[in-house]
Formats: sequence, structure tokens, C-alpha cells
Amino acid sequence: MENKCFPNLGSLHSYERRLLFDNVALNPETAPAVEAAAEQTASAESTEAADVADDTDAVQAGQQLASEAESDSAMLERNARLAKELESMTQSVGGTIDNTDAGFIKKQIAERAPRLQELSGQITKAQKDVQETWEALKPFNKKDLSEEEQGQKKGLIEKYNAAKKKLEDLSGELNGLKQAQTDDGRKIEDMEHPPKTDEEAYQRDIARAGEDFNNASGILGKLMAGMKYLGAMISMYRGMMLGTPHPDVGKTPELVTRKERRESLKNEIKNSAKNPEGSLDSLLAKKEDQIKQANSKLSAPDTALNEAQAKFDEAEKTYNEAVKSNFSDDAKKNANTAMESAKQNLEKEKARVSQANENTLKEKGQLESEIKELKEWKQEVEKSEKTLNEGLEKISKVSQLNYLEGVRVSVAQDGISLEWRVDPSAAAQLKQEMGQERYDALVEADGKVNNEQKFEEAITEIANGKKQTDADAVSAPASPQTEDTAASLAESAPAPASAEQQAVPSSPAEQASPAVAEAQPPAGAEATVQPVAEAVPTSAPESVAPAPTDAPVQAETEQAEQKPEEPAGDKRKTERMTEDEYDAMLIEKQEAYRQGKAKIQGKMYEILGKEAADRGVTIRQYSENGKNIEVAININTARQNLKGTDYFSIINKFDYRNQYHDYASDKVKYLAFDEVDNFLNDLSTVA
Amino acid sequence: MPAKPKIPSGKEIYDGIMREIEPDLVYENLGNLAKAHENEIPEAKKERMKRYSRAFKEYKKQYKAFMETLHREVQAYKKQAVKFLESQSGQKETVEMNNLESLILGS
Repeated sequence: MENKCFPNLGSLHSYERRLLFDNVALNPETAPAVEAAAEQTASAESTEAADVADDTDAVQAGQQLASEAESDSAMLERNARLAKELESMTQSVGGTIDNTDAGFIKKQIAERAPRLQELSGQITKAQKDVQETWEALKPFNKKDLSEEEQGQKKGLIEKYNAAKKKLEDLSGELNGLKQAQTDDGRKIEDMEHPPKTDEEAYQRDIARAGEDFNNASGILGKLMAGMKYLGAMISMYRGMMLGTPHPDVGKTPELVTRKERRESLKNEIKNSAKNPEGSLDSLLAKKEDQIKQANSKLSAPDTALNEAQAKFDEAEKTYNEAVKSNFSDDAKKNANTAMESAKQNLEKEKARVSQANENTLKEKGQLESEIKELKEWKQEVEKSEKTLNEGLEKISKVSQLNYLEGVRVSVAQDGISLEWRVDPSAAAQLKQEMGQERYDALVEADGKVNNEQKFEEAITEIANGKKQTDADAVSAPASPQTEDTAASLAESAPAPASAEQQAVPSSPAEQASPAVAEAQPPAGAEATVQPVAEAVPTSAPESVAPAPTDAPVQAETEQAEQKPEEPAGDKRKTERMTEDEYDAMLIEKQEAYRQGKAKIQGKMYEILGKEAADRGVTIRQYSENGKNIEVAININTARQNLKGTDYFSIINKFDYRNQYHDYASDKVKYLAFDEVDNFLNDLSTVA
Repeated sequence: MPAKPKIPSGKEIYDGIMREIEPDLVYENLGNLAKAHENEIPEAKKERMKRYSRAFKEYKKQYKAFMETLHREVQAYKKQAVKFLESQSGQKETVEMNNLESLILGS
């Protein structure tokens, strides 16, 4: 097949190649670097498996080489694209395109779009390749493989690894590009629509943190994004409470005036003599009343002015009559004097009334502007309350920060401050996280927080410490529970076979988990994320997460056996896990939980029927590092659906633990992952 | 501005090189290898595998050379882009300086 893109370099004569090479080598400055880069790419990734024994080997080698070429080509393409961006810069200097920063960023966004689309297609294909290889490996789920079969298996494992590496590379690139698009989009938003008020700026921070939270993948990602989200909310909370200016907001005179106006209103709200109720609403009502008074004052007749007007009218009339009649000059003069005097008095009264009206109007204007400010303030506070509570609810539901479940923010009595509150019915977990003593010192019986700052410090501390706690839990020498868990998982996978046999991922979860350090001991919690020899997939892989971080599956398990003397958990004792390892560990637990949940759910469907089970059984991951499954069964639902059965036998298999649940109609069972099967067996015997 | 060098896809690179070395091993033929040689006698198969092994070795050699060339082209392209940027910027400054000079002299 003739390829138009490719210059058929295979047929290039060495002389022609030499010319190409010499031509480039004329520039001695860049040549060594270029050579090194090319060398690195071409040699590091090229395997040494040039000798092929059969067609499977040949196919494998060919595909591997094509795949390496693909990744080199993608790297060069990225490099060239960088140059293209430089070209854009040159154009912008020339003034031919929008040369503002925003213009350049917009151009970058537009240029990334086709690649994003392209990547999306490539990822779908790569996922399909991974899936297909996975399926192809299934038939090799047996111990006694012939030599030929072992060869085929080896080939497939390599193909699987290559496909997975490609998927990882593509996903990594996609995530990077997506992040760049998001960042640039935000830059544009900041440039073109800078926040005008502190409240707007805080809201924007929260919205962005929320967006990151939604986009975060993996448990650790969610946890980190959740912490960021919480941080943004606390900043907003403090900002709104204390009027802390947001750093991104320009300090315009208008805002300064507004800040001063609010400061003065705050003093009025808190002024017990003038506003004994001490709230925004009471002050608002007072000011609205003052407006009414001002209006009445403006429309009320002024007696003195009316009298002056009447006197003047009378004096003017007398004078006019005197002029028309044959009165003496003196009489005319006197009438004129009287009229002038009345006129002066009238002018004086008019000036007085006018001044009084002006003052009233001024006061009214001031009141109107204060009322407007108070109403806006009220709206902002209510909006902040809503935003913060929505955020807290979201974090507690989605992230691992579920201790925030009962933490809420409410508008304080003054109407301008926010205060933390803890819903007493959901306080148990927070108590557990914070410690009874600390909790009691900070939170009153009705859930009111009595020391805002210390409370914020406490909840932030828990969030910050959470990752540490989880990491410590798995970094510590394996506890009986973690060993049990690992043992249980190891049980569910076939036992390691001989060193010659190949490692195949044992579960789809491994696709999204790094194969932890090659020579890691098989026991302990981390063993759950190691590829298990001979554990051929029993289920199809789920769609692979955008950024799987696992390394290629190991081709040999003997590495694990090379250090039998290394005690289990040694690495965990001495080294802290990397973020990837930690993330993978959490993902692995998530997977164990998912499998456990599916089993329990299946059994409950069997016993109670789907509808009743969906309604009456709650299954969720429980405990800090996700080691347990919590199953809550609603007694009423069970009773209704277990007619003719000894439902107590089933219900009694659940332990009632009131400290975490107020719903007295529920019974709850906490299960370590390895207890799931036993528990289900127990249920089977009674059901 | 220089034109951006055309960077072939991985499969194009592989096929481009391999087609001249061993057409059997072109990407689209890989899937049919076993079937195409179904009734092959062991000696012939052994010989073919040797040929394939040599082909892969030769491919690697040529691939390395090709990638070196491509790397250089991309590098040169980037370099030219920077030069262009500098020259454009310089031209703009010269024009501005000339304008300024004529303003001063004219006043």
C-alpha cells in the first residue's frame, strides 16, 4: 500500500541519509542534544526482543515496535506543536492577530481543541485494545499450560502491557490538555470579567474549587479537591464575616466607600441604644419607617409658611388698592413698606422650608441608599449561606470528608454574620474525628459553635490529617485486620504459580492500580495491588479511568520471590508511600468495597426482593481508610418483606450500633472486606 | 515561517520502514502470519523466523536513523520559529524608533 505521508525511508539510500544527517549536523550547537534525545527515544523504548521463535513472537514484536513508533511520533508531534505556538507568538508581535494576552490564550485554547477531540477517539480505541487483550487472556486461566500456550500467553501479556501503556500515555496527555484548557479558560474569565466585589470573587473561587472537585478522579484526587473546596469555603466564610478583601478584587473608590458604608451600618446594627434587637432586619425596618416619616414630613403643610404667604397676599392686595385709589403718597408708601416686609418674611419662610425639605430629602436619600445596601448585604449573606451549605453537603457526600455531614453554616442573629453549626443528630462522627473533649469545648449542646476560629482550625486539621492518617494506616506494619483483608483478597485470586508462569492482572481494579514496586513482599495491605501470578481475569475490565497510573503488568513473578527473607511491610515501615501508590491503594480498597457491595446487594435482592432491598438496605464504605463496609437494614422494610420467614434470624445478624445512627429502626453491620463471604453464608443459612 | 515538518504516525513509520525490509511483517499482515504459513514445514519455518529476526534488527537500525532525522527537523523548525520571532520583534522596534526620531526632528 502506497503511503503518501511517509517518504518511504526504508528505501532511502545511505548516501541520501548521510546528506540529511550532514545537513542538520551543520549546526553544532544543537546536534548533541538532538542526537541524545533521538537516541533516548529510539533506544530506550525499543526492546531487545528482536529474535523471534514463532509467529506469535513476530506478531508481538511487530505490534510492539509499531506502538513504540506511535509514542515517539506523538512526542515529536507535541514538540512540533510547541514550535507552532512560538509561531503564533511571532504573529502576535507582528500585530497580525489579537496581540493581547487574552487573544493569545484564546488561540491556545482553540489550537488544543482538535487534539482533544483526536485524543478522545484514540482513547476509545486504546480502551478497546486493552479490553480485547484482556478477553484474549481469559482462556489462559489454567495452571498446566503447554509450552506453546505459555508462549502465546507471554505474547498476549506483552501486548496487554503495550496497550495499557499507550492508554496511560494518551490519558495522561488528555488530562494535561484538559487541565490546560480549564486553567486558560479561567485566565480569560479573570481578564475579561474580573470580579467586582469580594463576594463575587469568593463565589468564583468556590465555583472553581467545586469544578475541580467534580473533575477530580480517584479517591485521593477527590479528597485533595475536597480539601481545596473546603479551604475556599472557609476563606469565603471568613471573608464574608470579617469583610476580608479578596486579593483579586481591585480596590476601587466605589468599593472602599461601600466597605465604609457597611462598617457604619454594622455599628448601627450593633448599637443597642438605637437598635436594641441588634439585627439587620430590625435596622432595615427602622430605616424603612424613617423613610415613611420623611415622606410625610415632605408632604405635610407648613403653617408658618402659609401664614407668611397669607400676610403677603393681604399686604400686596392693600398696596395695589392704595396705588389705584387717591390715597396720599404717605399712605401708598406705608402700604408698600408693609408689603415689602411681608414679602421679606415670606421669602425667609420659603428659604427655611426649602432648607428643611432639602435636609429631609438628603436624609431620605441616605436612608434609601442604606436600605439598598442592607438588602444587598442580606441577599449576599443568604447566598453565601446557601453556597457554603451546598458545598459542605457535596463534600460530605462525595469525598472522604464525611465527618462534615452534620456541619452547616447558618445566618447569625445579627443577620450579617455566618456561624458554624453542627446538627446534633449527625454529630457523632465529628465527635469521633475531633475527639470528645475538643468537640465539647467547641460545640454547645444545641450544635452552636462557640469558637468559630478554633472550630475551623479543627475541621481543616482533620481534613489535612486525613491523608496522613490513611497513609499511616497502611504505612504501619500490617495490622491483623489489614492482613486479613489482604489474605481475603489473595484468597479470591488464584495462588501464585511457579516462577515461570506469567503474571496476569487478577481483576479489573488492577488496571487502574500501579503494580507496586517490583520486589515488594506479597503479604500486607499492598499485596492487594500487586499483580497476582496466574490470576486470569474473571470479569471484563471496566472502562479504564482517564488517568490510570499503573505500570505494565510484570511478566515474571519470580521477582517477588527473589527476596523471601524480606519481612512483609518492610517498605511500609521505612518509606512513605508515593502519592500514586497511595492513590492506587485507595482505589484498590474502593474496588474491594465495590465487589463486596455487589455481593451483599445480590444477596439482599435474593432475600428481600430488589425493590425492598433498594429501599431498605443501605450499603456504604465505612471508616477512615475505607476498610469496612457498613450495611444497614431497615427493620420495618425487612419485616414487611420477610413474611413467613423468621426475619429476626436475619435481622439479628446485624449489630445495632446506635452511636453512629439515630434511626432506631435500622440495624447496622460493619464488615471488614474479608468478612463479607462469611456473613453472606450466615444469611443464607437463616434465609 | 518554515512549514511544520510532517510527522508520520507510528504505524506509518513502522510500515514505511518494514515494507522495504520484510513485507510479511507490515502491520496489516501481522494478523495473518500464522494462517498464511499454516502448512509450512518446520525447516522452512525456522528459516523464516531467522529472516524475521534479521528484519526486526534491521528495522531498529533504520528506525533509529529515521527518528534522529525527524528530531532534527523538528528542532530546526523550532529554532527557525524563534529566529523569526526575534527578527519580527527587531523590525517592529526599528520602525518605532524611526517614527520617534522623525517626530523629534520634526518638532
